[in-house]
Amino acid sequence: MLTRDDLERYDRQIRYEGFGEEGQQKLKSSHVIVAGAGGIGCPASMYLACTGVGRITIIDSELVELSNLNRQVLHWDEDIGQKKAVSAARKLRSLNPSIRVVPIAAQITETNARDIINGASVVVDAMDNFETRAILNRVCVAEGIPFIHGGVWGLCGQVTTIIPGKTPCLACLYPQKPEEQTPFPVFGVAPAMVAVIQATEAIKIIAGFGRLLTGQMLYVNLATMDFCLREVARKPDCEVCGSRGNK
Amino acid sequence: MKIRLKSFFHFDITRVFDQNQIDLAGERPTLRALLQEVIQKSDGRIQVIEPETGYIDTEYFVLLNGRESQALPQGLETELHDGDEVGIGMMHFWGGG
Ligand SMILES: [Zn+2]
Repeated sequence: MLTRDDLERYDRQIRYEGFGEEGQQKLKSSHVIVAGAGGIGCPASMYLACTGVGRITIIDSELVELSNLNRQVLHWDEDIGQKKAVSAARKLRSLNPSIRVVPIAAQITETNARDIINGASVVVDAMDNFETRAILNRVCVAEGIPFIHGGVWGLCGQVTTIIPGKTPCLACLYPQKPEEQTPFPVFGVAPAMVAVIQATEAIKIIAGFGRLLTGQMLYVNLATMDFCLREVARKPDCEVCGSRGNK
Repeated sequence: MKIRLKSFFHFDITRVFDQNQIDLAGERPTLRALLQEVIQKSDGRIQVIEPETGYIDTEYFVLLNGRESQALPQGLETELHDGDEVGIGMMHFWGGG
């Protein structure tokens, strides 16, 4: 049930036609996993928290470093050396004390992934490497949990929403590990932009309104202000969601 | 002939093209001609076409008015028209920030 405080805190979005108190209640009852507390995970979790997602689990095994602070907006100078998951959770609780925020300061592995995401409404991909994304993709497909992929490089970014069994999964699109560069150049505004789109997708999935980035990859380039949608298709022989997969 | 260009690269294309459109010479320039212009102007940093095969490199996508180049009946030999929009980009931006 929504409380009087809820009705006041979320008043401006409850007024949105097609969302209302029913949508707000759905958000309150939901559980979103934010996998990564970096440049994407910080703004994504902030917007999920202030929109009223009832439970947020934020996962990151790293410690805050000075070079993170140009973009990882939940970590401040005083947090350097702290666990990112804990630093993020502290700020999120302060932003919205009426929700539950659970930090997990551990790496996502084949062994723990299923337990971590068990029962989640949505998983937000805020990772920075192919291996962990691949693990999350596999588990989300197996468990039937929507997985919102986002990635950035420089001032470019990409987002797609994966609905298991309906849309292509990440392995359909990237069957092989792409070349990765670390550290890679990035302005904070690029992951922020991608994160806000991912958070919006999560909110729409949970509350059940709007149109999703399903079967489409959104590409953005903030250097040129170019945006484009590219149709993406399932691979019938995908190792994860297709005939060669486990599901 | 002016072609609107949308680009999604690791490389900052604004240092090569100061506007979001390319003025192509010739009566009937093709999609391939446009891509070659991009490759040349970027000093080869944007290798959209594989030199060995002449096809689009698997690391890239090319859209003509929102349609994948592979889905065009004439492929890269499709003739362009004034006001066409071409999107070129890297397949993936993998960082999480
Ligand atoms: Zn798949």
